[in-house]
Amino acid sequence: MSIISIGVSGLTAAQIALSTSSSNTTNAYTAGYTLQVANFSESTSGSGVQISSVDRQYNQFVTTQLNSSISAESALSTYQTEVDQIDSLLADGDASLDTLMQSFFSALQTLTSDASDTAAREEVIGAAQTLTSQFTQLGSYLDDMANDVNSQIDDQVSQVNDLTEQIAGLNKKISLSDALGSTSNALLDQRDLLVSQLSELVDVDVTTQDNGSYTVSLSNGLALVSGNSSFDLQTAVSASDPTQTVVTYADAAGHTTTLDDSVFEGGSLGGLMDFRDNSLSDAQNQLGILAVSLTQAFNTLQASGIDLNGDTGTALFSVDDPSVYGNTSNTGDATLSATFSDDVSALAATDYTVSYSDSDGYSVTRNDTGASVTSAYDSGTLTFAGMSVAISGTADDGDSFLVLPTRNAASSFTTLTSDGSLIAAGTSTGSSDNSNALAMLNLQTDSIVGGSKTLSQTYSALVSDVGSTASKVAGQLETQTSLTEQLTTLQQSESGVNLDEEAANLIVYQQYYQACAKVVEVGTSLLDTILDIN
Amino acid sequence: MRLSSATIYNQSLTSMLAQESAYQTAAQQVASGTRVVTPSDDSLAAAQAVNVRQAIAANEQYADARSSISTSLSQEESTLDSINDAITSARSLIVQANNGTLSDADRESIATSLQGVYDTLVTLANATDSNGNYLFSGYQSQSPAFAADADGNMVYQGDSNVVTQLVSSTQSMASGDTGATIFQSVSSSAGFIAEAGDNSGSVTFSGPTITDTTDANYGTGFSLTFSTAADGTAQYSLDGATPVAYTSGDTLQVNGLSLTLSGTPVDGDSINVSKAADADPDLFATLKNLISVLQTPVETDADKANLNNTLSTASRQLSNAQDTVLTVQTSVGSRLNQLDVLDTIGDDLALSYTERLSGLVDADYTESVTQYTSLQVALQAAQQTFVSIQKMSLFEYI
Repeated sequence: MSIISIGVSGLTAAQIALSTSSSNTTNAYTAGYTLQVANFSESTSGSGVQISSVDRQYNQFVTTQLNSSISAESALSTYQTEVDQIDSLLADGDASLDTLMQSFFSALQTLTSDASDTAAREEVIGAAQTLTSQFTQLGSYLDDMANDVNSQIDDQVSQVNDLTEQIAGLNKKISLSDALGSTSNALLDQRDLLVSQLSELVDVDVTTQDNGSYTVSLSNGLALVSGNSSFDLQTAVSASDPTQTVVTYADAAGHTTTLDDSVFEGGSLGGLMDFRDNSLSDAQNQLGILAVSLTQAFNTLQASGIDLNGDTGTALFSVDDPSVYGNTSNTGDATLSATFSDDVSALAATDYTVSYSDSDGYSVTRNDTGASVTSAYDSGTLTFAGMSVAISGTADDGDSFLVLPTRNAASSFTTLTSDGSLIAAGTSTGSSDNSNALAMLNLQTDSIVGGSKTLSQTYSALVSDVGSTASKVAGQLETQTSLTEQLTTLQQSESGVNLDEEAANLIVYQQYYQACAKVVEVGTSLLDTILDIN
Repeated sequence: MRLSSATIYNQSLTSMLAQESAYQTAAQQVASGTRVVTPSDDSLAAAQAVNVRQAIAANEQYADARSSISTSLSQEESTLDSINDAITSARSLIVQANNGTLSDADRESIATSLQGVYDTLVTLANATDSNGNYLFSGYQSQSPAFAADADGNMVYQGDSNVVTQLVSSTQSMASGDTGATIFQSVSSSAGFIAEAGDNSGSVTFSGPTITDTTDANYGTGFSLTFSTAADGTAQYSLDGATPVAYTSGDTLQVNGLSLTLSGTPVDGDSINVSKAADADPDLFATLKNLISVLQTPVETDADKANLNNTLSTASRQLSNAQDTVLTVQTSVGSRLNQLDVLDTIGDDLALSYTERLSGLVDADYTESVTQYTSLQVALQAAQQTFVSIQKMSLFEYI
């Protein structure tokens, strides 16, 4: 082996090493880039050197840990973005619900000092209108959030499908190039970046097959990517609750399965579903029960009193009747329609499910606790939890119905009149009779919500729930973020580019190149010497 | 540990951003003076603040109610003062009228004065507040408390209810009294009233006085009916019992009461003695009857007896009426006192609630300014670190 060939092998190796280092330097801040290192080895075909491989500094274990941390962080961060909106809605201020409820009762108080004063009556109506419109605004905001969550789920599911399709495509390219024995580091980087992006949306498990392709599956084991194929997630309206979007999975055989929300624990999809099923519906229901309780209690008093015109009082407030949805898989033809009873003390801030079985007839459970609820069925009418539900048609065994008494009540809360004389302040025709107004004023301190809480206590509980959830999520997010940071640092400590290191490499390989060139020069001069002899 | 350049950059950037956000929060706290803006700032404090604000609002409502009741009661108090004065002058007019030497014209003149008192009382009974509501009509505050019927008798138009309001979390208070209470009732301590019937004889009475409260029938009234016995002498029957002989100057002891009679009765004359409360007390009716009797010329012994008996009865009735007014006045005074006490308690509560609320949600200035300043220093440090770390590179030297 000539000295020149040996020198040239060094020059070649130096060029590869320099190009690897350049590639590392230029990609120092590129997302998904994995540090590459040129491995030198003695030439197997005699003397000299060769680059045996250019390795990715990749650690599967740390990357898996990091992706799962990213998933959890993304879920928490999505939850935080959403719950912070409710948190801000409940910020203390002149327009906060508790202040407006106090204004309403304060106006009623003024009315009790002179029930014949029409100005005081107008003030009560004005305060009632301000109160109900604020309820409507908050309720509509929450309703919009619920719709927004549904459309975000739609968007994210289509992003998931995009990503899984690309991963499947990369699987194909990588296994092909593997077969040709020339693995492209860029393709591997790209695929790992896609998996990391997918982890932000949904928590997935990744396993590597022998041929180098990734199998990506959901937490329940259903595969999203298997070899060269990807399987789409889809969205559909929930069979039990048409107000909610659920995610479905279509397998290779074309069977569609509805995925339970619990399948999505991490990722922004998991965060959205967790928020929708907990904080959002809780806030909607708690606001709703405030509206329903005030409406029923106040209207009941109105009906037992006499207004300024000497007539029996009529309803002052109104909320929509409870919504009832039959499960789309019901086989019977029963339809249910619900109304609130005057006494709603048994009502709780939750959704209810009415089920029918041939053996037990109708039974009711609370959706928040799953506990069964006392109900009474009498000639086509089912009464439970402060509601009376009229049933027409016949239910089949296994049919179920979702009853939402409070979910959308706040956004439908309205003051029915702008005429102050219609307030039934008295129980006689005396214009100064304030006896009923006194009873109305007592609603402020009576436990009219769920039979155990005052309006103010209920609002306070809502504030406490939302506040503690928001701060809990913020705390968890902080912990998770720092965990992600630590894992990122760990991952980067192996796979990241350090510019100082590359600068040093560039200097070293440059010198190495010069040295190898010198070897060639020496070889040449040796040859020349021999040639000169001739 | 080996650090990648991206990690170095990200870490110093992240810590700078974190400092910036903490600095903003601290600045906001200093600027607003509030520690808890959204529930998540401190969910426990935010929830408690809702309850404290509710307590403050309720406390303010009670204060408003007290102020409104206090205004009504003060007005009632001054009106009752005037009513009391009017009754006093009516009573002194009765004393004048009792003078046996007066002529019909003198009595006519007293009657005119009494008519003045009567008119004053009617005006006072129909007093209104600043909103034009009648003070003494109960719930029927849009109608005058008293109005004259076809016969000129004053009839109560209101009802028996009084407007009450909640003046503290546990106590409700009446903001007035009804005309029926003030003008048509007597206090429970009022004694007995004797009234002559539409008599033609000259029997007059003095009394009744209470002599024996332990008498089995004490508290029950009685009636005397005069008749002429078979021998032509006068006799009377007690509550329809067998008649007994009558002698002028007799003092009867009945049901623990004593009543002295003098003069000559005529068959069918009567005298009725009853508890003041059972005798349909009515200040306006008393005065109207009195005026009418004073306007009647005194010609016969019967006229004279009628005058004396009426004056005697009216005197007692007016005394009772005055007692009633004084009782109501005392009750009004004691309610005003209670309001003062409740105001003091309410003010104390308001102060302690406000302090509690401030403790829950307000920023502690010393603490927040200190924090603000130290975060400012920390942020500057983070920024300087960022700049100097970014300068540290081997590339600077090659």
